[in-house]
Amino acid sequence: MREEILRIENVTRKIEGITYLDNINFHVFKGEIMGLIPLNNHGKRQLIELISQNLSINFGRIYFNEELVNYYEHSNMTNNKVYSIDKETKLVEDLKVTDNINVLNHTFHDYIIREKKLKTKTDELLKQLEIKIETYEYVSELSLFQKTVIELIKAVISGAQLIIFNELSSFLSIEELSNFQKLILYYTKRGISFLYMANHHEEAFKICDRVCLLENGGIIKVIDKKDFSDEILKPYIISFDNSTELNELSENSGIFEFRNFITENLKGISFSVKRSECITILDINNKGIQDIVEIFSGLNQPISGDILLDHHTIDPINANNLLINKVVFIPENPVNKTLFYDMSYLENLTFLIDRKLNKSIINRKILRNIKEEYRSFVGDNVDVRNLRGMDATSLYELVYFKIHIFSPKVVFIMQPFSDADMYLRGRIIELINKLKKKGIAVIILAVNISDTLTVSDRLLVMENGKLLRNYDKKDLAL
Amino acid sequence: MENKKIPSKLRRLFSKRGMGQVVTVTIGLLVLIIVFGILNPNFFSNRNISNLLRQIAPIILIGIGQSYVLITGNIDLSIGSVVGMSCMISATLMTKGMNPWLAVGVTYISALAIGLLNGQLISKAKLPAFIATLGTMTIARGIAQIVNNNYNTDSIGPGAEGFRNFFYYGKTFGLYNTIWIALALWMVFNFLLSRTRTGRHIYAVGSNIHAAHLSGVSISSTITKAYLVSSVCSATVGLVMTAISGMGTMDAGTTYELYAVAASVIGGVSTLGGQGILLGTIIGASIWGVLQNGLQFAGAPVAIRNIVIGIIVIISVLLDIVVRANKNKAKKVKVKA
Repeated sequence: MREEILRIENVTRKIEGITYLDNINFHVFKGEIMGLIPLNNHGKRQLIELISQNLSINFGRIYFNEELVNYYEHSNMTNNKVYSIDKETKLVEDLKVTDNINVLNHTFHDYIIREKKLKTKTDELLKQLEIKIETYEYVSELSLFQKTVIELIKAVISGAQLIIFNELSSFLSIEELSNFQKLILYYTKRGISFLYMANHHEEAFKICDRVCLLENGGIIKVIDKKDFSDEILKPYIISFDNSTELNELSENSGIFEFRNFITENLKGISFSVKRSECITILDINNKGIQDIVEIFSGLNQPISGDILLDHHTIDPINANNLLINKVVFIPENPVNKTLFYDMSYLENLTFLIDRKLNKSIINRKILRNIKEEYRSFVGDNVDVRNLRGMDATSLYELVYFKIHIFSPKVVFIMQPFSDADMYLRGRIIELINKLKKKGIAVIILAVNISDTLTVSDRLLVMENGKLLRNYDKKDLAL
Repeated sequence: MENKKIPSKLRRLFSKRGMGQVVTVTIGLLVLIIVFGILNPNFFSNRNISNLLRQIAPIILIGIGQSYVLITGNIDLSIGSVVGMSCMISATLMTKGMNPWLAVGVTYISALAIGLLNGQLISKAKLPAFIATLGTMTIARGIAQIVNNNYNTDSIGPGAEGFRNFFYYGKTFGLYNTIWIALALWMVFNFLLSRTRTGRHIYAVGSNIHAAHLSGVSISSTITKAYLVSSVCSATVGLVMTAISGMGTMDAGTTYELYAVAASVIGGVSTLGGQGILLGTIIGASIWGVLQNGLQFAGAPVAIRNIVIGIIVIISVLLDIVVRANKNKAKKVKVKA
C-alpha cells in the first residue's frame, strides 16, 4: 500500500462564521504531485494555512505522515513539515544563498559559521541538480526563478515532506516553469510530495499525478492522470467568449509605438498598437518584460529608442508624465497597488478625473453624474464608503473602471490574470474588452499566455529581450 | 572573466554587503585627514593622534551598539541615557565604598536590564522601537538623576585609580586602554555579527522579518540580543566617562544616541535594516572624530562642527539610497545577462 503524507477527512473550517473549507476530503501520497485547481479562490488560502499548521477546525480529521495531527476536538497549533512556495519569496534577500539554504534552517545547529564548508556543501548540491547559481551570491541578486529554486532546495533541506506551490506560472516564464518542473520530478523520486496549485488545468495536467477541483471551499472532483482531458473538465469550467466584433481597427485611429527601444535587457524592440487593439507581449524567458514595467513605473530609463504616441515622442520620465500623455500602467495584482482602501468607492473611481478635466475642484454635479452612470456597471458598490471588506471581483472592477473613466489612449497591463480564479478571470476579460470598446489601446505584458489570447488581437513573442514573432488573431485561432 | 583575475578572498571581502560604502567613506576619511594635516601640521603630532584615537573610541563603542540595532531594522534612542546611567551608578557605588570592579559588574547588570526591557518592549509588546527606546531613554536618565539624589557624585577617590587607568588613563603597548577596549569589543561583536548564527539571524530579522520567522528564527530573542549588545557598549562608555572625570555626572552621554546613529550611518549601516558591517562603524566614528578634532584645530566654533556633521550624515544616507538604487540596476543586468 502506498504511504500517505497527507490525509484530510471531512474537514470543515469556519472563521468568524464564514465557512472557508466545506467538508474537504483528499489525500496526497508520498512522492506524488497532487494538483489543485481552484475554480474560485474561496478557501484556497485557508487550506494552505491549515495544511501548514494544525489550526482549529470545526469538523473532521487531518493526518500527516499517517499520524493524526488535527481533529475537530483538539488542534494543537503545531506546524507540519510543509513548505509553501509562491511569488513572495520567504528567503532573506540580504543574506547569501548558502546562509539561506543552510543557516536559516531549523536543522542547522552549528553556532559558528564555516562559510567554506557551507559553500562546498551547497555547490555539490546544486551540481547534483545541474543548477548554476553562485552560492556566495546575495539572494537579492538572483532572478525570481533562481530564488524559487533556492526556496525549493531550502524546503527539502529543512525536512519538508510536502511542498505547496501556489501559482508558479504567474511568476515563472514558460521556459523557467519547464525547467522548474524537472526539479519537482527529481524530488518526487526522492519521496517528496507536492501540492501543485494552478489556475489552468493545462499546466496542472502536464505534471500532476492527480488533480482535484476546489470550489467554494469544497473539493468537487478528483481526477486521475489517466482521465486527464479537456472533456472531463468541461462541466466545471467556463469557456471565455471573446467578443470579436469590437471596434474596427483603423490606421487613422491613432497609434502608439515603441521604436528601436533599447534598455539593459531589451535589444531594440519595435512594435505598434492601434486604438481599440489589444496586443500581448509574451516574454518566454522573462528577460525583458521587467524593463518595460520599470520604464512605465519611472524606475528605469531607456538607453535609446523612442516611444511615440500619435506620432509624437513622449518621455516616460515618471508616472505623472505618462498620465499627462494619457498612458496608464496597471501593475500585476493591482488591487493593493492602485486602490486607496480608506477612500470611498466613488473617490477611488474618480481619482484621475481631475487630470482628465484639468480641474482641481470637481463639480458635485459631475460626480453625481459619474456615480449614476457607473451604477449601471457596478451596482450599489458605487455607494460604498470604504473598500475594506469588498470582494476581489468588485475591487478589480474598480481598478479597471477607474481607468475606463479616465479614458487614456494606451493601457499597459502587467499579467492581468495573475492569481485570479476562473470567475475573476472571466470578469477581467470583460473589463479589458470594455477598455477596448472605448477606443483604448491595450498592451498586455505576460510571462505566461494564461487567458491573454482570449482578448488579444495580436501576440508578440519576446525571447532574450528581442521580439521574435508576431501572430495575428487569425493565427491565434488556429 | 575579469572576476577570475581577482583573488577569491579579496573578491569575497569586496562582495560583502556595505563594503562599497566602507571603501567610499574610507577614501573620504583619508581626504579629511590629509586636508586637516595640510591646514595644521600639528594634526599629525603623536599627541594629537593618540588623543584623537582615544576620543574616537567611545563613539566606536556606541556605534557598534547602534549598528547592531539598526541592522535589525530598529533604533536605540536610549544609548546616551544608558551611558549617563552607567556613569552615575558606577560612580555612586564607588563613592559609597564599593569595590570598583564590583561596581563595574553592577553597572553592566543595570545596563543589561535596560537592554532587556528595550528588546522585550519592541519584540514582545510590539512597541515601535522609536517609542520604546524614547521611553527607556527617559527612564535611564531618570535613574541617572535619582541614583545620587539629583546630584553629581563626589570624586570616586584614589581607591579607584586602577579602574580609571584601566578604562581611560592607562596605556598598553603605547596606546591608551580606551582604544584597546574599543578594539577588543569591536573584534568580539564583529565576530558575533559576521561569523555566527546569531549574526545571521540579526541580518535576517532586519532584512525580512517574515522570512526570518518562517525560517525558525526567534524574532524576540534576536532583537533582544541586539539591544543587549547596545546596552553593553553604552555601559562601557559610561564607565569610560566615570574614569575620565573621576566622578559621576548626571548629564553624561547626552545626545550620544545621535552620535551613534551618525557613526553607523556614515559607515554604511542601513537605517532600513539588514545591511551594514562593523568595519564601517569604525570608519564612521573616525570621520566623526576627525571632523570634530580637525575643525577644532582649524578654529571652527562648535555650531559649525555640528552643522558639518549633520550635513555628512545626510549625505551618507543619500549615498546609501543612491548605492541601493544603482545596485538594483546592476543586479538586473547581471541577473538577466
